[in-house]
Amino acid sequence: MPGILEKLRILGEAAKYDLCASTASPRAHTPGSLGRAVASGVCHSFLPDGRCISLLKVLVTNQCIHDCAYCINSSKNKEKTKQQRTSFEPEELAKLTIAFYLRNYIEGLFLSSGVGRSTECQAEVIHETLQILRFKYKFDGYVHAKILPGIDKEKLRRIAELADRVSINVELPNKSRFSETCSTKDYNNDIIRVSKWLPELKSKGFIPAGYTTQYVIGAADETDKEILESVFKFYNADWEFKRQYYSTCLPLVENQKSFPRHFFRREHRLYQIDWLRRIYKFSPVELMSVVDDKGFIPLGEDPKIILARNNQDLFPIDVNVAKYHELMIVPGIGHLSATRIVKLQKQGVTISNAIQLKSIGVVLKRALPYLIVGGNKQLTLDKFEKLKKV
Amino acid sequence: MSFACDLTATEYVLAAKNHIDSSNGFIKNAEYLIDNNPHEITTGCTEFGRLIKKRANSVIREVRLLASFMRLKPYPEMLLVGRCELEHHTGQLIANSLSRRFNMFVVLIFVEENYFIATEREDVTKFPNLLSNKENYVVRGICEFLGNCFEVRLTPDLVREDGDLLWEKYYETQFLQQRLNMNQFRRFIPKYVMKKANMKVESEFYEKVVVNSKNNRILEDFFKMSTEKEN
Repeated sequence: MPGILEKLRILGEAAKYDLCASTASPRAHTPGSLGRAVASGVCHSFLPDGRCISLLKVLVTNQCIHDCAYCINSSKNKEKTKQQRTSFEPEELAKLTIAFYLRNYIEGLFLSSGVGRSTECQAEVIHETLQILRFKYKFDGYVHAKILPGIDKEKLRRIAELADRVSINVELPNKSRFSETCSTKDYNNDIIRVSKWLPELKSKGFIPAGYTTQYVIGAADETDKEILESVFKFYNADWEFKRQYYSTCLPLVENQKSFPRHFFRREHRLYQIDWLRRIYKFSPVELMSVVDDKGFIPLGEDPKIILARNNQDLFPIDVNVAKYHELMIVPGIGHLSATRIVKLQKQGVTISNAIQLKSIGVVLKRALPYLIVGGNKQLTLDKFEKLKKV
Repeated sequence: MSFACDLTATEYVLAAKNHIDSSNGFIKNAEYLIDNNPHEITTGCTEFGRLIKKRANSVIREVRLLASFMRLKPYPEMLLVGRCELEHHTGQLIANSLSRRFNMFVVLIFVEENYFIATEREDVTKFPNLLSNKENYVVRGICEFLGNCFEVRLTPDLVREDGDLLWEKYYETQFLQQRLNMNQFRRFIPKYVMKKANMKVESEFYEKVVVNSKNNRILEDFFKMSTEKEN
């Protein structure tokens, strides 16, 4: 039986492809408990790959009965990865979380698991770990628990009672793509059926930080259009997923370099579209217009610039009178800079030149062609060409 | 220099007071500005307003970064000890910030030859005056004092002497070589913060990865290559 150091190495390695973010949880603080899930996420550690690891991200076990083609822990890839199979005891994992938390290394726990003997059995272990953490050690920090596919409703409810956030990995955008990569799970029964219970749990006051999902990009021959259809469906009022993550399918053996590297850019563009939907409130129809005939988002250009170019009639916008939602469609202006501009408008401050815009945080080279600043508009190349013809 | 206005004028001045270069004269003038022309501070439309804002942001940044990244050592007597280097007078602010997070503990922060102590616990109102500021002496003194104050103690398996080693192993396992992105990493944790917040594990691993990356293609290379192709 490996020691805790070796277990941490194996089960940490096994969980590294899962995505999570430090986030806010509106759960009330329990007096006399250890730590707190702060109002806004605080990051405590980053990796040289730029990813935040503010949560201790480990599996309870790396044993799994499923045969997902993209997963290092699946029964299918057991031989390829040659990784030893091991498990944490609930008590052991709870103590480890507290030890890291006290050293200010982490903000909370991200608990996932392979499906060892059965979903029910493994869900019970996850629940026991969370119970020890919350009640025995009075841990009041952030907890994100992964929901295993096919879990029953009662077990899901018990985990949701203790976690700030839960997530269930959709992995692929629809039933046919899903079955291309896994023969032991059923998309409708194991993923969609379970996901449908989440809004109800949230409405009862469980999982205060909401629920999320994750897609693995490039595991099958799925197109961006298929992914976006699924993404937009899960963001609508019936599902209300808080966030959706995208993870490029990396080779199972680390030193293998033959994976399509353009998938990283594809992942980046999917995140941009995701933000344009969630934060910038573009409609699914507008965002789908960015996708090309083959069903992919063009990799060479920022989707927000494509959208602005497709809707030239909406511009230019006068920065001193524009409303928040009008500013948000301008490339180079984000939520923070739009909020600052509106705040200045309310204070009666007039923005009269580009330098002031820059100091607010606006990216000038993207924004200026779409704005009127101090009564002036930057002459774009298109307009210059038109003027020349006239 | 920023035109942005995220805090109120009073908040900016409160923060700017802790800046290393803020003299009594500066503070007096800043307080005068709060009463008369606070918008000069929030919008930074005058040179003095901009200076206040710049200093405030520098102080807030230091508190935020160090309270997030400073590593602590737990002691069974419900004491958490950290060490850092500071640019401004923010030692107490950082200790206060950490004590809000670890509200059942006493937080002790060493900065050069000084120490700052804070807690949210209501059963400890005063700490003993110690004769020396030396780290070992202070930690021993505070531990002894807290040992008499609190009945509850942390068990050895929560204090874990090997905690840093475990973190080192865990940190290494989470890294994805194919995604190496040094610019992003530096954006989140600037080099000086790593040094000031005493982040040994992260610092050593970063150096190791940078040396290794010279022989490997990384994410940044890929983006550069594809941009060149497009052009």
